[in-house]
Amino acid sequence: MLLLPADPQKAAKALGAINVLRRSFGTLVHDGDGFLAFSRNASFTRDPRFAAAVKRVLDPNAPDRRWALHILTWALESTRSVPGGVVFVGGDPREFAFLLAAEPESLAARPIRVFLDREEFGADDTQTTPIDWRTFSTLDRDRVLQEAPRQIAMLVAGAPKARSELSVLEALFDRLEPGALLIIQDFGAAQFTKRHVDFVNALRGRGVVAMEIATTQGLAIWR
Amino acid sequence: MSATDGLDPDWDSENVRAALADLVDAYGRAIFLGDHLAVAGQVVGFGHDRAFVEAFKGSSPDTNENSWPWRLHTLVWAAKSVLSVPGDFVECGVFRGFMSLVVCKCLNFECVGRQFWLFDTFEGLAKGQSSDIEREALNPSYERSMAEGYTVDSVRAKFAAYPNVRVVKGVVPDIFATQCPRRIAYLHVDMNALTAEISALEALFDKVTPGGVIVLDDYGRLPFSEMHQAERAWFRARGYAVLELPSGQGLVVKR
Repeated sequence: MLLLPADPQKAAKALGAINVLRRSFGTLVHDGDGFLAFSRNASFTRDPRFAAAVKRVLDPNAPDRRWALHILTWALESTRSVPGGVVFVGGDPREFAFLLAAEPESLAARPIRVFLDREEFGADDTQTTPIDWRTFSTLDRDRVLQEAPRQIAMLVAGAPKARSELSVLEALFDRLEPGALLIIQDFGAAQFTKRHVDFVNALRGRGVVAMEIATTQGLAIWR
Repeated sequence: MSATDGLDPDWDSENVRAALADLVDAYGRAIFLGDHLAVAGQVVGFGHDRAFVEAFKGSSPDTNENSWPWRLHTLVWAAKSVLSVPGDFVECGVFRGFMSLVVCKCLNFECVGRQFWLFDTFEGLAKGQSSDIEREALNPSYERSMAEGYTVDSVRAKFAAYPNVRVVKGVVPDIFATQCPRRIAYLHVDMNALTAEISALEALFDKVTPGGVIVLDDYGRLPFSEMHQAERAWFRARGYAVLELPSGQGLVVKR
């Protein structure tokens, strides 16, 4: 649902208004991913494989992030013919479990490399069958450059709290193939406004623009 | 299903108007309301982009069109993203030219070495390319517009500052027999009619250059769910997935 204002009185007023909208529109409102959207098809939620992955992997009591996951699954599928691997710099292990369940074909036949903050994740992990998926508990720039594929088809920035995130990503930008997709998690999140501006400037320097999506994600096509 | 099926929320009910007013009161400037979206706690960077805001605000006197900034953000992003991709820009379904005018302003399109083709009948949906229900939903807007003096010439006048914009009057796809770009980098489809939109895709998809972007304006809007299903299947048959954006648009990047 919508992020509520910090002031308790305003939060109560906002919650009351949101409840009126929910009651008025019933199933015609998507109430998740940090926004309300009215009168949308959201057909991805009824896609059998997507729905099965939701049921199997996601906690029904956790905040609804299905729209954000739709964007990730779309990006995985859309970059299947772009040369190179998929790299996540930061991220949520539950999202990875979801992607493995929902898009196994899009993950197969190309290297998947995940770099996580040591504090978020315990030890390196390698799974090469059936998917070449390796997780590293480091955001050290040199180590990331050593372990990341030379060609990258899809890059996900998902470590907004890590100081080294942008410098690591900038080093990886040179490996992005034309047509590769860059997804920036929390790009539009107001608590990371400085990061948003830093990304906009870093991308502008390379002639790339990012679209802000209501899920808070940013999307850019590499050229 | 069509735009007349009543699946759009009843924004005019007293309850809803009061709730929206309460949201504005509770969040102040920290909430985005538009494009059938309510978004809080987000940067909404395009709202701080002076060039975008100026282009958007000055381009339509229509309150409905003025509630679509997120959709315009998508289009401006798509247009900027294909500047290094060979091909022209195309819009099928222009109406008064609002959306493409914002794109032109944001890109200083007169300096972009491409043609921007704007195709429309400027008189509403044609019979052969739409259902009775679709025409009943859309054509009154055209009739009101024409009564207010909007014509193909007044739309052309809007783009007078852009010599590389071609406003073309005709029925899609028939008009492509005589006027059509060879290659396309940016394709915006917004005809609110299933047959017309699929016909446009049939005629133009192969002309879209790899790396080019296709935006389907009403792809995610529930009143157009039949069109959504048809377009989803059309792209799926060609090996493409359509990204359904919260703004209601659909997005495809050509490979």
